[in-house]
Amino acid sequence: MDDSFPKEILKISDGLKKRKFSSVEITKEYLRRIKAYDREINSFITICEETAIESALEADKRIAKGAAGTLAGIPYANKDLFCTKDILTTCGSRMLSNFFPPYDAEIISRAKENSLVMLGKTNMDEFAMGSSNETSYFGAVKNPWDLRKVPGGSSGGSAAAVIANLTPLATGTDTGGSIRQPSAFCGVSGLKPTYGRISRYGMVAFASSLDQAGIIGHSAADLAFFLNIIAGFDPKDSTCIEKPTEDYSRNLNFPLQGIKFGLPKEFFKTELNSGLQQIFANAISLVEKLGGKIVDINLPHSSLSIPAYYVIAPAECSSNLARYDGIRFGHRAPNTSNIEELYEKTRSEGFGAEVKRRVLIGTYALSSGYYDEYYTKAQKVRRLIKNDFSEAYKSVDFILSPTTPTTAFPLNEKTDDPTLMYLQDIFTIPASLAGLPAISIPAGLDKGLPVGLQIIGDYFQEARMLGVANKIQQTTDWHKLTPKSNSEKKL
Amino acid sequence: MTVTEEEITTLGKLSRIAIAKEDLDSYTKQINLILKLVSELNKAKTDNISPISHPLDLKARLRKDIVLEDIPLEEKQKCGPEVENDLYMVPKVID
Repeated sequence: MDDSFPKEILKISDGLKKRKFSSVEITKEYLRRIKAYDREINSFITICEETAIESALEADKRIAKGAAGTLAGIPYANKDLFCTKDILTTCGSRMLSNFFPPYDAEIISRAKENSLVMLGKTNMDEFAMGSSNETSYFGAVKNPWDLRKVPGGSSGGSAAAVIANLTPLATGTDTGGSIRQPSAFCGVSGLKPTYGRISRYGMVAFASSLDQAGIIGHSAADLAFFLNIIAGFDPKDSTCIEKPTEDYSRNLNFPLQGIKFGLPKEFFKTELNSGLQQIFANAISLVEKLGGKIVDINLPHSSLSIPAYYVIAPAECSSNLARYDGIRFGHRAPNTSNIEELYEKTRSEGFGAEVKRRVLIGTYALSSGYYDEYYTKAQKVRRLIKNDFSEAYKSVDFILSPTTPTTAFPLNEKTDDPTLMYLQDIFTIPASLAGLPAISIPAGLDKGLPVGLQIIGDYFQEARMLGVANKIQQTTDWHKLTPKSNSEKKL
Repeated sequence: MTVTEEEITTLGKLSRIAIAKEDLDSYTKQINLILKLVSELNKAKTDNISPISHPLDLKARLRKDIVLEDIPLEEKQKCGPEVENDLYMVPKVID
């Protein structure tokens, strides 16, 4: 990156306001970097060069008039499952490889209103189903720390693009860990807010009772400023929460003195390698040094999170993905003689293997005779998991854990047995099922690869949670580590 | 609970996804691995526990049945893979 451009949102904003550089200049620099480095990483599916420059010009005009907000003129990228008017929106699938939506997702509209500049659309696991970004129809994303490793998924393109400094901010979505796990693998900060805090309007649906939009960036502070813009009620999303938002940056100097942090005993039954254990122990010591109190807690049903998730998510996915029929939008198989054949060929050609597996499992779980045994049972277990968290939050303010049980694993390692991949989300799925906000922040490196620390908050505690994360980031430089500083590879 | 190759074929038909013969074995094995994983749910005691649908237990919000904003038909149909005279084209369904 040209050293005349800072990476932090507030510094970019300050530079733009003081005319040290223009939005067009910084936008062109990010576009140059994408062209130079993304051939190897593959974090973008679409680069929006022309519209980015147009938006940057508009942002510069608005800044010159003094009518611009904090994020005006700042470049960002969108996960390719947010509908963008007249811009290709693929969801990482052949099924939508020709889809140019006629409308913007709500968060895209809000970013436009605030004059952010969209650089492009980032790569992802197909329909957000995966933890490695290997299921994308547009090819796997490579982890910028080690190109032989996965970046995590499903928002792997967004996380890889941020750490490779191809964008300062990116959107993501998290159904079972799809923001937090890639953020951990790539060494960036990733926030999944409370379910319903950000509108899902225009977000391609996977599992509607779990899907949540969120943000990936270099620091908790950067996330707070972006959250200020995109959070809030939207009548177009019937599950969006009708509750006022707050200034998410107001608690960034949150003191940890006397704040209680719970460590779920059940999470530590999962075997972690000694490197990860040490890094997590260091993070806990730091929280204690900053005045936090560490308390052991129990989440007795958390071991059932993955089984519950792999009933609920596929069941909702099989229902949501029924809309892909080759008629109104998306891929359509050629040369079919009847409607049944059109549906079947279109879906068989348009979906990849992981999506097909989940649709089949969901169809099974929802079929007559099995509905109560699988779906109702899983929804009951989900309540037990939510109740465990409610009980825990009677005695603690936040819950801490590693974000993932391992660091980034090699490409093509886990593709034969799908359940091995599912275990990647063992620490992230419980908060997803309960609908709680959670963030992953970098906590150091193990053998040269980033490790994530997960902070789970109670409902609507995003501001305080970002404050805790920011406090840790004010005291450490874990979030400033980059592939360049780790090796001599020039990024 | 396990599923057979025959049942996978039936699930494929219900889902409108054709499973090629050469893939049937791997899909069956993989789906049985997933079913084994989810069978852990049977360990949970869930008598008198009500199932959850919204994580915050909110009921779906209803709004007045009026059109708020609409996308013109022409815009919508730009996304259609086969459109003629404002109509979506499908194979013949009635003889």
